[in-house]
Amino acid sequence: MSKPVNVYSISEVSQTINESLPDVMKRLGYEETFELVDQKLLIGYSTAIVAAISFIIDKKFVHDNIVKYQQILVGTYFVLSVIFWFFKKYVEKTIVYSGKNGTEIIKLKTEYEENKPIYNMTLIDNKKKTLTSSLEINKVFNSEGYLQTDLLLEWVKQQLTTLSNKKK
Amino acid sequence: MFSLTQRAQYIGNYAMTIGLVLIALIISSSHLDFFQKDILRHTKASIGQIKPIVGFRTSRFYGASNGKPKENTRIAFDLNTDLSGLFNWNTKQVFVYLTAEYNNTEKGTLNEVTFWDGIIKDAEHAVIDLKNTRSKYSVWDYVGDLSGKDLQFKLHWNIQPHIGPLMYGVAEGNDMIVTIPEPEKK
Amino acid sequence: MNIRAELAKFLNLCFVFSSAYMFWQTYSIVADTHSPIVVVLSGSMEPAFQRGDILFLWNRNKYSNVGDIVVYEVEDKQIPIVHRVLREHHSVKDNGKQLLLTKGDNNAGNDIPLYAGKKTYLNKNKDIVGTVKGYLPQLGYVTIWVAENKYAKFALLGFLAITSLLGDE
Repeated sequence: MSKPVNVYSISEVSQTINESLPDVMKRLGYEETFELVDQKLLIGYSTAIVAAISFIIDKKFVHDNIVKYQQILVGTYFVLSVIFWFFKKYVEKTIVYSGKNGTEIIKLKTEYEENKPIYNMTLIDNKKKTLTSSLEINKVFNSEGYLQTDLLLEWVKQQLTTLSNKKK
Repeated sequence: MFSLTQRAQYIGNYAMTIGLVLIALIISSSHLDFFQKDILRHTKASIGQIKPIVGFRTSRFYGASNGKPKENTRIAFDLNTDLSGLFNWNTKQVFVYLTAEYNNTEKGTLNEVTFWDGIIKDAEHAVIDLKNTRSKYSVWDYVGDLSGKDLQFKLHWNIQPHIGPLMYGVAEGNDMIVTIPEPEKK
Repeated sequence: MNIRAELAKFLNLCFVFSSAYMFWQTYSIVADTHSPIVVVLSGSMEPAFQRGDILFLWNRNKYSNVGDIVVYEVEDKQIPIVHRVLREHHSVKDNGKQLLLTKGDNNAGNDIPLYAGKKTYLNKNKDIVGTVKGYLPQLGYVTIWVAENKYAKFALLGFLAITSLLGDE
């Protein structure tokens, strides 16, 4: 937050905002939940461990003796990689933050378009209500490239209020 | 603007993509060229005047074991072919080799041996016109003798590309079958 | 919370190495050989292959043909020799046993002086690592440079370290 960011690179801007969301949400009373992230890390590290096992036994034993085991490991790696890809694409689906405040659950998804200085956020609460809004980044970044977290917090607070007031 | 490493990464990825596309283009265009010329199936060669010379060697490097004389065969031959169709932009060299196939029915083996080979570096040197040339190699059968066997001679070629897969083929030609005579007993 | 972010970054690094290694292992299994990619070390097959060329092997063929370029190791000496098959002999019974004689294109004589013991032939099943199916010129020279130059390893590792540090910024 105290690092200047290249305001012409929407991907860097987006990443900076995403990284500051946990703190912003904390100040708004939400506690971050990590189920999705933990699941993803579990699948990912299992895949890496399978590869590591394959590497170690390849070093220790003669190749022809362990072909059957390597076949199993390669197959497992492939299956796990597909699961990981599936998880990233369909389960995680650009969610960058999920948190809860008592019984309320909130999930935040973010997107940006190349070369457009607009940050899009979709808010989803546990009653499946959604709200998509756009934020022009010059509203929360000053000309030197510093993120004004207070302004970001105000904007997010507004979005949350709008969301809870929505009927559908 | 964008940092130096970002630009370097972008350029690096772009260069690698272009490189891969170029390689694919070279290989596929070269294969298409051969396919159109139909050269891979219809290269002709004429092998003739095969004269076998049979003798004995006692060195391990000529197939002998424990100093027992081993029957060795050389040949003199004529060879006529034009392999210039095998050269295009992706051909680095053509390796050409004259082989003979035979059955050893007593020992139950199928065999193929090389009598002569050569390297052609470009299309200018691709016309081979050899007369009464001696074989490069002195050939022996692993388990028996070549004498009394019928050898079928064929000319093979191998295209070594600048990049990509190796290609092999056999030249069409007369079926040269030669029976190796018994060696003169000394 | 920060731990998860660091773990995620480290996971990305792991994926880079693991996918490269698993690609090699998969190729090894599919091609049925312990060494499916080989770098040419000697000039005995010039002008076809030069030192530093990368060769792609395949080993699911039952028999080798005369003229095939094969890779073999002399009695597990781990140095791959890339030469051409000069002669082949196999049984009519089609039991998969085949004897091969090899020679480097650029050598004057055949490989009998190279074979272990007093052997005058190679055994296709025991000795042959694979047949060369395709190649990339010169890209493997980096591995020769690393193997033969004392300082190359440090230079290469240093280069990799610097680029990864700069990349994270």
